[in-house]
Amino acid sequence: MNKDLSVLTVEEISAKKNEPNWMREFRLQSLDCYMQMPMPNWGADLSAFTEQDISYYTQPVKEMQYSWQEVPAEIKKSFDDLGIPKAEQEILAGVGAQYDSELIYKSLKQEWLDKGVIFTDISDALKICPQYVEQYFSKVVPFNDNKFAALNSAVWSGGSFVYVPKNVEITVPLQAYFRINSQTMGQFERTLIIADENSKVHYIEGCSAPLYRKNSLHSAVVEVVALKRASVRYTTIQNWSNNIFNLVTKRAHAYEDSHVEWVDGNFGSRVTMKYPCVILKGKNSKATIVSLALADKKQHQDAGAKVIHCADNTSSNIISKSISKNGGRASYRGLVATKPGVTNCKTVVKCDALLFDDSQSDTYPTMKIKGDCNLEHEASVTNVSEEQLFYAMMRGLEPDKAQSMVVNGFVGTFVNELPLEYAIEINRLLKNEMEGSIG
Amino acid sequence: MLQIKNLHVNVDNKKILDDINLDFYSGSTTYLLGPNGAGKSSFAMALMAHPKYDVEGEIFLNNKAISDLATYKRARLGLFVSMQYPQDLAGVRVGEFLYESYKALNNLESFSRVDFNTEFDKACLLVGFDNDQNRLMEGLSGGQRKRLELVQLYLNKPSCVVLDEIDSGMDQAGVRAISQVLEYCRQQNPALIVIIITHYKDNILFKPDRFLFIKDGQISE
Repeated sequence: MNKDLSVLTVEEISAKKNEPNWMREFRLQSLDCYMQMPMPNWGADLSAFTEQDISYYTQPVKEMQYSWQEVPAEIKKSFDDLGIPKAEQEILAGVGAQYDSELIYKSLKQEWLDKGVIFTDISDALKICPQYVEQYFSKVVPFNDNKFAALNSAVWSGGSFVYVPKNVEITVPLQAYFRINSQTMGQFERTLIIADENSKVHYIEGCSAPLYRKNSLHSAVVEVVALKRASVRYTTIQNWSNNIFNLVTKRAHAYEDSHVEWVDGNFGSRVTMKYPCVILKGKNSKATIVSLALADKKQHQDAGAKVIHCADNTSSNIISKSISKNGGRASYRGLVATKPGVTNCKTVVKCDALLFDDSQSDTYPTMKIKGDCNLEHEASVTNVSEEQLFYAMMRGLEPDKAQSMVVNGFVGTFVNELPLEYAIEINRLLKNEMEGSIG
Repeated sequence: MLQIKNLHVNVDNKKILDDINLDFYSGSTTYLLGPNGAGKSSFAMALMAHPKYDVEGEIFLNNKAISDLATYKRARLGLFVSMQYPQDLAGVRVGEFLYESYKALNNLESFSRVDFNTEFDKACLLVGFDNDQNRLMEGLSGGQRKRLELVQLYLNKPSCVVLDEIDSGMDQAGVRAISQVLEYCRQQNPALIVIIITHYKDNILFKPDRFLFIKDGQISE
């Protein structure tokens, strides 16, 4: 297959997947848009990014594989530190292609099936329930939203599709982990979640183990539709190896009385640009966006949140936490806007940054508020003060322990939002990340 | 005994204490008095190796040289300094911090949480501090912060304690609690060295053996 990004290759991808004509057209239109759009001139510095970084996009899964020997030693070490079994390590490292998860979730799967829940690969969804895909696909994130959304729209492959029928509540979180294969965490994954009226779902992607990929661009698009009175929580924990450009567009439409929550943990990567967004379209809808970013040496986490209040009585709550160490840089970039004329909106934005030594943190909060809104905004930058660490050490704690005490306290509000097993993993991950960072 | 030999303390190249030589005997109680900015707190911080202070000279605690030891090691040898302005540790819970500190100071890998809780409750009762271990170490009032220092003093059973203006911002009950905790600690360890740093000579918290005055970089009787 031709590696270069061209009309031909996009058509090949579409043909290979046996896609309906509208999807083929959509891809071609998106490709055209990608070619024409300039690179973003704001946010993180992408000058080191070259088109070569996407040269793997057309390779079929089998050819994309490489051997376990090629996985860097430090990645293997952190797998071991996290106590992950070898078989799973291989999948996380992108080495293994298949993971027999059938047994693990057989009973859950039956339960979902009985309730009419569809949880599948998005390409399969085009065959199983084309009506839903056609109705909602790219309606939340248009192909021309930004250059990388356009790229994803042209060449997307893999990703989850979830449909939760009316009045169905899924009590156990749906985890992408359960249907893991190398495509699930592909370079251009595309996720679409539709929660029908009065339904409830919690979707989880990723895990705290580091994800290693040879190719250095990860550009995903996630679309969530929460219909009337629906409740959707989308949790992401990602820990990319430090060669990755992680440029992701995540957006949700929230209809009347619905509630959308993004819980987003960003670790690793070279550059991350990610601003989970909720468009509050219906009256009384709510958005909650809780995020944590950790920027280490030579990493820039440019992350944040966006909420657009388009209806009356809508409310949003943004909590953003970032940690920078070893010269890493964490930026909060946020937008809260109201449509002119809407009344009785409420928004609370809270950004906290924790800085170690010569690291960097900056915040770019934008507020476009018109009309009757109650606005609270609070930003704080805390240098992990010598005083705090000194106090803890004065009470007998070793420097590492003192530091992890301060860090764990700082991330508490984020970790509390996670299911227990994730909270434990995150704490362990933070402990690993923080070890040895002060003398 | 706590021995201080040729102690020089500088902050930002400014001389604070100049060639101090002092002995604090086991079982003794000393008041360290002096005007604001004279260097009382600097003296306490220098004992604990606060990173902001340049310290030269030698310090011996019970005949062990501690001048080259890191802060946490000094603490583990039984040196307890209460802070004039105890730090907020945002998001950290009182129970968690004190439990970890307790284990660290007693060089224990593990310690029965139930036994710790019993001790913690006793300390809180004596000091007048809410025994809710889930309380966060942030946003406490001045008096509560000082009380939390006393709870730690009670739990940590040091061999030498330096209280830096522990009485400021305390109500009468709080001041009484200071005396009671010190009495308890002296009972537990008759050799306990007590050094009380305060503005007020008349505010007697614990029966003094001597008064020291700090002025112009010097400490004198």
